[in-house]
Amino acid sequence: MSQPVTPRRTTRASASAPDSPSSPPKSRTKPSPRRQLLAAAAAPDSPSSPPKSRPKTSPRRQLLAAAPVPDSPSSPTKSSHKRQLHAAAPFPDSPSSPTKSRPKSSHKRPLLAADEPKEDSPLDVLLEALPGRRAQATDLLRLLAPAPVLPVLLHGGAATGKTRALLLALRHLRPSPRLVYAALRSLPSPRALFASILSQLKALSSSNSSRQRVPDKPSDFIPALRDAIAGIVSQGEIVYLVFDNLEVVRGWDKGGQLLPLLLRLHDLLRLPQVVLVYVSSTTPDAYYAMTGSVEPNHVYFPDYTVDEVHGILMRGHPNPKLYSSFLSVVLKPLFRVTRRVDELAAVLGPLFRRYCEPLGDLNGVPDEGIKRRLFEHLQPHLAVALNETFSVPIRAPLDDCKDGISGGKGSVKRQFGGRDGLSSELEFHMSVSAKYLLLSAFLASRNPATLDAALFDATGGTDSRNRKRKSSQASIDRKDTMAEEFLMKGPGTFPLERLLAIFQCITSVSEDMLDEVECEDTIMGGSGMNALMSDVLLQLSTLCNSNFLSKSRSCPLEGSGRYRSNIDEDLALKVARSVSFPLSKYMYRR
Amino acid sequence: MFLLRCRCLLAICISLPLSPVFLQPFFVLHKAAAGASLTTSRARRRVDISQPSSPNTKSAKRPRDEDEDEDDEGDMELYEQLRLEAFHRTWSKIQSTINEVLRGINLKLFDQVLRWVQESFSTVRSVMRPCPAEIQQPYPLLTDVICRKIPTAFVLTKNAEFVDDVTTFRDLSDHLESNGCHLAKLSSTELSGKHGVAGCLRSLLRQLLSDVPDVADVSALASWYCGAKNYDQPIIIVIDDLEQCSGDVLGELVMTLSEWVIKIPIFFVMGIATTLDAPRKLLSSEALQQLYPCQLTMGSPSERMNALVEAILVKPCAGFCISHEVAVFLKNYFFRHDGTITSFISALKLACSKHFSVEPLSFLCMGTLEEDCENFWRDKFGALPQAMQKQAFGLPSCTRENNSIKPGNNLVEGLSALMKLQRDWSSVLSCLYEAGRHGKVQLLDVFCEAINPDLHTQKDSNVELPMSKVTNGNLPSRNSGAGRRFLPQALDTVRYMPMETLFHVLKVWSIHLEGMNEINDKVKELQSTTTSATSADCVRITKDKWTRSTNRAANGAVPLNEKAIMLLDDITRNFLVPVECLPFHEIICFKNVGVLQSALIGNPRRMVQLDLLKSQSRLKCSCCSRNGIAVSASLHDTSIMCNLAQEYGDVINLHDWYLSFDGIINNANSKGKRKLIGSPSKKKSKATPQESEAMIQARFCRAVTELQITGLLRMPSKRRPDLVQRIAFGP
Repeated sequence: MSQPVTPRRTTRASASAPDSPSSPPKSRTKPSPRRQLLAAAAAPDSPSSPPKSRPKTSPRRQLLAAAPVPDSPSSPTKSSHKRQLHAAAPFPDSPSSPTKSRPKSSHKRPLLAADEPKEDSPLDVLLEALPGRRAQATDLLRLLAPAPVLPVLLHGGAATGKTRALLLALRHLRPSPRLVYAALRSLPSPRALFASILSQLKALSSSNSSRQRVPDKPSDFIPALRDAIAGIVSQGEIVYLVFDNLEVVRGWDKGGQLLPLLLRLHDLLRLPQVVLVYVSSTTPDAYYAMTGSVEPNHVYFPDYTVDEVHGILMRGHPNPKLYSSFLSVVLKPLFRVTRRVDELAAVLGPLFRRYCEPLGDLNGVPDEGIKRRLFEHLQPHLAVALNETFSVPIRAPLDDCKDGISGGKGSVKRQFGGRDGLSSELEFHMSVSAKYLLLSAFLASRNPATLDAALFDATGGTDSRNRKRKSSQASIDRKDTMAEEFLMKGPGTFPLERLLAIFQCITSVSEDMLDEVECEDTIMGGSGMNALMSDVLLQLSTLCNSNFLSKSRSCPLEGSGRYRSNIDEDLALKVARSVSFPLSKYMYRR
Repeated sequence: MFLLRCRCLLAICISLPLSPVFLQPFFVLHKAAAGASLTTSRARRRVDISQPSSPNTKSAKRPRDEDEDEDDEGDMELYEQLRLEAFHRTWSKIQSTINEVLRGINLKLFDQVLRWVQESFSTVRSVMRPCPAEIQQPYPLLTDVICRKIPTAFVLTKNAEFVDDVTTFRDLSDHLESNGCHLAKLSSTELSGKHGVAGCLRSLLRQLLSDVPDVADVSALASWYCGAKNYDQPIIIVIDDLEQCSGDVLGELVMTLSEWVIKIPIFFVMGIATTLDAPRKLLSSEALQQLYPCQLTMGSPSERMNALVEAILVKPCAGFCISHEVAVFLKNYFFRHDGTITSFISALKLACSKHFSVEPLSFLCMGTLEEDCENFWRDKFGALPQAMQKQAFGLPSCTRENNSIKPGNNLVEGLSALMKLQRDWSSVLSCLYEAGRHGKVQLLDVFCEAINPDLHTQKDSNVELPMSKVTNGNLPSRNSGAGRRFLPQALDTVRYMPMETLFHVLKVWSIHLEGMNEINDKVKELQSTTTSATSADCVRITKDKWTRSTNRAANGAVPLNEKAIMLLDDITRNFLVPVECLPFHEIICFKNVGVLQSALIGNPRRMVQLDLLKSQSRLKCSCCSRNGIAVSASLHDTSIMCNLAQEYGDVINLHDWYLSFDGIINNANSKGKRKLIGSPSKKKSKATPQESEAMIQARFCRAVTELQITGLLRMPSKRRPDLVQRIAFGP
């Protein structure tokens, strides 16, 4: 495991800033070997520092509250300690900086080994706050620490702790850096981005607050940015410029132009005191095509493993034994569905409440028998949760649960009840004619138009169809393939005329039925048809508004748009049942 | 489309809050429809007076003498003013009642939402309570919370049609705002793809901040939220029609705000018209994961309907009522066609306005709003001109059972009696509904049956039937005709009602029957028996729970239930007299369903076509009346074309059409020429129209375009460029 003590690339960069762009991008490390190395590197650390054993039960918040302490000047010993460290760090490296060594990961181990005995507690706190991210955190620290010349790109799936690791690492740095953070997700436009960055810089420099115009164009932005940074940099400070959620830019209007600009900022600014950090949930490959600029250093954040997730979820739990037994039952199956910690945590919360339901004492330690009973209690709910991970868990109305806690408990039951009730009845009110219109739209979308005559004829048109069917097997096959294609295409579109024709047919069929039900209905009986037809267009707009129908473009005068029904068969059947209309009789099945 | 727009316009016009500004034109509009169509308002009034103003003219008789005519004209104008005033007062009373009822229903939901907001807020704050400096920093807080979910209330409106809920959501916003929440509303237009998420944020800031920064982003909101007076309340974003929003934009907004949810407690309240599938279909799963949903449900439309019918129609709050036919029409209109409370109210308003504009004596309705109604009526009636007094006694309901007492008192007494009977009727109906609601009977159904005069007369003929039929378990509906379904059902509910419910029902009855002393005594008597029975029952319950029901069935309960049924049946027979069976009911009761129907359904395309075809009947010009049926060239071009189009089928050949149009115009020209010149030279007259050929073509084109715009025909397609398609058929 002995590795050559090679010079740190960062120091080389800081020493020879101008030639750094010319150096070929060679830092694309493959994450897995590096991780292995780091894991290996980390392994000997832990025994070497006995006080570092994880205080599992200590609440994480406490940790976090403790984390900023080193930053604050109130703890001079630690910060001075660290500053000393950083001041010391460049020294061994600097002489060897001219010799450029390739394998980046190779020199990590000795560096850390040198660092850790000196300052175990702040780094330890940092690593403790980032469970399962030891490798990435050390990587980050190394890459960020004295201002590097190359930009850094953090990438990895959603909810893998990228932003958190970055922010904690930055907090860990000495001297505490100047941070400009652009959360691209909460900035709706390039202009907002420019404004946000410039205003943060202005706040940092605390200089003259002459109100500037927010630049509209990227070409105006770069000079403005350079001016703003120059003020801070001249004081000898280092500015960290963080772009979080970089992938969002691609979805922006003109994002295609902005993204290369952001990635080339390093070349454009040419200020060694500015450190660019990009955070993205997409792989770096997505950006290479867009820029001819230097390739940033990468830090890859892989998805958490089951054990890591287990560890994360266990943190700060009041009853670790109970929760651990719960997780051992639940986590594996759920992990097959999603690996995102935030999604898992959202699902696990209500499940754990349910798990604890039979327990009187939440602080007790469950034995095997109790565990089994609890699992049996949980099992049906677990099955539901497995299917529901991707949909909204709907809570019970709050009026039923005046006391907050029992509300969560009642919810699942209500949910089940709702599900059962859902299958039989229509949940919302619609007028009868709107229902018929919806049914006719459904039929028009599902049935081929050529069959309309057959389905809605007075005779039913079956004779002719029968004759045809007898005629040749080939035609049947052709029909079958056509029907198959039809099914593959999904609901079809139809013109208004066809919709109205079908509507007229099915309402005329059911008119008699309606009249039977409402025997005293003499007024409407006479003009029933007229009255039903009269505000069909109103109903149509209602249906369009509620997304049951969608409408393609149309000429305002001609009204010649085509419609499509978006409802599924379940809903159509429900609607049909509510007006007792024999829908299945009219549906064309292959 | 045209139809749609007109209807919308009408609906807007009607549903606007009552103010003279809006009501006046509406009233006039109606008059215009009944009278001539294109006159100034002054002239219109004259037209109205000089000709029977409505289809319902059976009572409006015109005076014959010319002297009287002038007097009457003044009087008429006066009374029209009075009627207008009566309409204003009556409708404002009804409107305020409606508002009260709806607010009462909504308040429950509002409180639920408020409670949810408070709970969610305390949950968010319990996670962390960031200080202003923390809020304003651009990077996220490093908290222990793994998920950042936005609490979201999905409010199911339970009605596919959204109109009713617009006001509900507006009131909800007001309610939340008055309880200290910061409130912003995003409409579906703001959440459309056109504006994007930047537009949403800008709109949010505009609603919350006093001065909106140049560049809208969330950090501006954050710094605003740090203000001392803003800090301790959540921000609620109300999106009232989720279905119409663009899913992408909404999803993006959710993602954006979820980054900030711990710093700025922003909650969503989203209205869903259909089912909970709507958000699932609309939003991406990523955005859905950021929501912490909760489902709330509004009162269903039929619940609201029941409450409204009870407040307006059953308890005649303003002295205005509707006949059975109108009630059935409204009921069908509600359940079959529109299904919105808004349109029900607008229909009712139409009925009300029609009533006051059509019925000459309708201003007497105002009396019910006066403290001393008899005095009011006496005054008014004394001042009535002779002709109108005669009219009053010429009302069909009076001639039917005319007792020919002195005219002076008769009307006043009649009206007072009418009011008294109406009150009794409504009390009994309330009792019936109170009983029937336990058997899932809808008030509107009971109401329609109770107001049916046919059933009442039918019942009268059945009075001799022995009471035992009701009591011996047969369904009364078999006795009293096929038309009655809900009243017997209500009675039947009482029969199988458990004792506790019956006790409760009796208590409500005694409240309803406050004014009717002897009946109330009977109810009290029943109540006392019930209390003793229930107390005995209670003792029994404590003794053995299991035999309770059997005991009750075997012992005292049956006679008690039967007694209650007998009482209810008795008062139903005696007091449930439909308003249409009472003398003078025409004064307060609107009966003309045809007018209402045509006004409500509108059918503007047909009206346009009719006007085009029969323009001479409106214009009454001399040139056309002579011609009779033939199309005259002096008609408007569009009218000529429309008349000509009647001769074709689905499609019209443009060339033929043009030729016949040309023929009519030329024919007229040549005729005119002939008349003017009186000379035989046909060639000359042929020569003159030739030069106006271009003109005729232009007129033809314009007429076709006008027909297209009015929606009577469709322009030629590319495939068949020489044929236009007719859309409207029939006269």
